[in-house]
Amino acid sequence: MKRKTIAGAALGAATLALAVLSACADTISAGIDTPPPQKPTFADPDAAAPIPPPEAGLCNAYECPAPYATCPGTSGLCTTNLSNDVSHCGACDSECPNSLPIRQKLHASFACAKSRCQMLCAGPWGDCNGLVDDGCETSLDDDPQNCGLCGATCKAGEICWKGACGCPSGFTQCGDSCVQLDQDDSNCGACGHQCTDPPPDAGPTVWPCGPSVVPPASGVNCLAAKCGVHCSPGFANCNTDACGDGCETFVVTDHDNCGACGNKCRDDQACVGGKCICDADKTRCGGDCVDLESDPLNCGACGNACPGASGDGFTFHGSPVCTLGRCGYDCPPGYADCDHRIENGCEVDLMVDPTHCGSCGAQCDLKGGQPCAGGRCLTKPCDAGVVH
Amino acid sequence: MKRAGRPLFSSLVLLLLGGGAAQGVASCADSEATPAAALDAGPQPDSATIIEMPDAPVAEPCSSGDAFCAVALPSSTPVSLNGVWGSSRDDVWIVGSPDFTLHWDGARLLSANASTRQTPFGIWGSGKDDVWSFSAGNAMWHSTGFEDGGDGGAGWSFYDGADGGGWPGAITAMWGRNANDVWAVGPFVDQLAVPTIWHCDGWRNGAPQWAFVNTVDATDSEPAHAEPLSFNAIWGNTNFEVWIVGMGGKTRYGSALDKSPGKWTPINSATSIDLNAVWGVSDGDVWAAGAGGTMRRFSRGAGGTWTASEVALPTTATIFGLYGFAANDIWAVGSAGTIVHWDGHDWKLVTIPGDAGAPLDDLFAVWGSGPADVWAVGRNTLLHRGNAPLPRKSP
Repeated sequence: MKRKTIAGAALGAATLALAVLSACADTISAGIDTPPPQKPTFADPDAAAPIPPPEAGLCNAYECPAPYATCPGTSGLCTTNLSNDVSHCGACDSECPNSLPIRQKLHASFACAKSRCQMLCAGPWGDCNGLVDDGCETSLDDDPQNCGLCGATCKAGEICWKGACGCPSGFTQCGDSCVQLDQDDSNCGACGHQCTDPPPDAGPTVWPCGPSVVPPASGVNCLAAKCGVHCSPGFANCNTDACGDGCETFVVTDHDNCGACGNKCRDDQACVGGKCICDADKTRCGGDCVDLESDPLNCGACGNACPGASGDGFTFHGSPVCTLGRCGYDCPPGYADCDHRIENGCEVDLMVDPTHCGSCGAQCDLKGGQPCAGGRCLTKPCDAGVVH
Repeated sequence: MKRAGRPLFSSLVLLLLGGGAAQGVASCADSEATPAAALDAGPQPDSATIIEMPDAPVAEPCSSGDAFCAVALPSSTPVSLNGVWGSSRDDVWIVGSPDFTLHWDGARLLSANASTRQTPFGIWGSGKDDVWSFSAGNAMWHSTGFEDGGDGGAGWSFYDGADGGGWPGAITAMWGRNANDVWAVGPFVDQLAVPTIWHCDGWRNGAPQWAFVNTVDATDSEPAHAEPLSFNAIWGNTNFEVWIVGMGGKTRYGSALDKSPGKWTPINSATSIDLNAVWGVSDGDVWAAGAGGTMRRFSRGAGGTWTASEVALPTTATIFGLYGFAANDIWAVGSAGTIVHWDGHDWKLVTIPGDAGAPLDDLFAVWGSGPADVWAVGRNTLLHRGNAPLPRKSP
């Protein structure tokens, strides 16, 4: 868009153009703004008028366009974007505070947006008082006055639990927390009712296998809101021999009793965490269900990790990809792997690199110091600038 | 249109030119066979399907002479064609992912599968009855010949290296002097730290008996050992010489391999860019190619030493496949639909067909039975140069 605007302005300057144009011609061809080769249709006798080269009237420019700047300690010309660079936010060396102690103290990090440092609250924290100096001071997880959101007040007596007022369905408020009375050993059937070993003479209802007899993989715990001898968590009595081998089946991983007695997984599935995995369109690699056609860590086969590192989006760009079961490496928009070495990822920022401006190998006027801005070698109308 | 097109490929028969029909259309190819000509070619099992679907795109023959023709694939489902090899012009195999095998017998293009979710990464064979496919994992497949029968036919038998204690990892390329002298190379994985050059004496009793190859001789302080290098390609000749290239430009030359152990020599490829492909003329004119349009030619000097020279490519595309027929007839294929040809003097770009305005897909492998029968395969792409009566892809 910018390119078109500049070209339009230059053409709007009208007739003083021609002499300047010819003087500029060599300079223009040195950058990536070289007009595309004219096609034979250019000479079409039916055409209303010859179409002028789109970049006519533009010469190289060497001043940084806003919001770019050449900041000390950075490489290249005009490579710093003052509008979003946390180290040079609004001005060179104007750094947004992001040290670990500050982040921990303020429960916040800082980003640069529109040339100003902006505070971003971490996790469940909120800046409810609007003061930057104490950062994100409010825990939105458990503050009844700011529950999930600054200013969201819970009803009188209602707790704020995990960022929401009151307890969700199936939970009951016991003091400052929400519990499941049907299975909470410390709140079994009622708040504060703790399951403890009953006396030996409590009878067969409490001791079904005899006084004080606890079968294997069983214990005194809360089930269906009642304390008693039940299976330990994760175990089940699938062979109905409760007083013999107790709760013999570990349903968390049992292929034939996955999550519950009789819940058999398919042959190509595994039981992980009480659930049959994987779906038919996935392949099991260890405990994971993956798509071998697209998973870069299991590309084409379990364990076949595609080479190359994944970028952090700041100092390293690019990431391994798996396409149709075959490894590759992708660059994010604006970056390229011009040296074809996967070790350094997509090492070129095509937006600012004057040796690879817009595409690999597209050089600006390096000798003259022509910057690359927005993926284009910087130009300006010839009549307003230096003509080389 | 898609719905109408499906019945055309509802059976394994892609090209509806069975039996005597093939001869009829092949002879028509030079005179621009029309759809009507194909329909009239004779009785065929699927011909009724075409008649029922008057708007179905009837596959034109792909006979293309010197130009590459885009061959119709069995479905529009995305597929990565990773390898191509054949024993002759009438026995061409193509493998890809997900689970895809394609076979050309000179008249029919038949698809099959290996019942796997692993990626068949490539294919190699010593002859019509000894065909190998290898994967990105431990799996290998072997066929004693494509079966045209009704069971879906590639005749693949499966071998799991992890179960057999043999091959422990992925294979990127294979080559063999014959059915009893077979080589494989693969990537080096830090966690496994196993060698990456392997040799076996063939597919015997349902499994190859791989043995790893040491490329560094024993010294006073160290036993013979393999190097922790990832290799991408291998080529050899009947003089018991083998070339292996890989990551970081690493190149190894094995000679006197009929002896045990053979002699291994590191070759300076004059690049640290990844090399993905290697091929040579039998007298020792060896080429290697890789990322960013890297092309190297290895020549043997008077003293028997090898030197690499850089040869310019008219592209910076990454090359994945090399194959040739003579010192002046070599093909290379690579990213973004790149095909270049060496005529003895220069590498020249070759135009390939593609959808208007759409970027071309990557090409991963090239093979041919001769100068007039060249196949190039890649992502969603099957190209052929020659006069085989293959079904042409609809524009």
